[in-house]
Amino acid sequence: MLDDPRTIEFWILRTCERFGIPPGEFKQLDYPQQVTLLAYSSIRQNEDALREN
Amino acid sequence: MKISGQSLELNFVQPFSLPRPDGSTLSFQLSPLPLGFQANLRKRRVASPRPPIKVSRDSSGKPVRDASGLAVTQADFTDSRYLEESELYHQRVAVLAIVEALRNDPEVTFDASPPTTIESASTAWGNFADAIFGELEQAGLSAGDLIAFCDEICRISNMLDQHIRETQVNFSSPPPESSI
Repeated sequence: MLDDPRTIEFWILRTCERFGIPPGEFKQLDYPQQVTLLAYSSIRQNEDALREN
Repeated sequence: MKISGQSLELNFVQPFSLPRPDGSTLSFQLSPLPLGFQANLRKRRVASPRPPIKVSRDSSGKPVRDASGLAVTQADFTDSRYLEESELYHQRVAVLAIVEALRNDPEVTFDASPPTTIESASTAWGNFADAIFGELEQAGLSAGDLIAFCDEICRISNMLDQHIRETQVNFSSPPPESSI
């Protein structure tokens, strides 16, 4: 996803972990909802990394 | 809500024009397949068939055996029934992908209804896909047309990075213009 070497499967599980959603439930969401959650999770991941540095 | 005819909601719909033999075009609105589409197919019992197993034989027709004396087996990918089932599987996947991709096109409706949770027998989704294929055939769509649909669906379904970037932009407000 974007410039990260992690696979999309990793980012789905990471997003599900952040939101407390079972992966099976994530895959039942419609595409815009999935993209919104992934986009938010990506931004938060970057913010967390900046804060730790 | 729409402004100047444009919806502000991101739904990633892409226009798709299908050329017809008479020179006209059919216009559709295609949406990317949801992540997990393939996994959902398996849940709906639309799965790739497995080739039958056959015993390997030597030139004299005797079974080939391994060091333990057990007959060596191999998958028979040339089995005619397996080939038919494999072709049907790929047809069903293509059709269900087309139905899914057309979900946001208000101009397209199908006579067949997708199975409800209650009636989801193991063959329900396969039968639904077959019914849709029949409708597509009756509408005059050829195998080449279905391939064209699927090519475009594959293209727009591999734009996740771009769609994520577009969505991320929505999380930030533009900076206020300088009053100087």
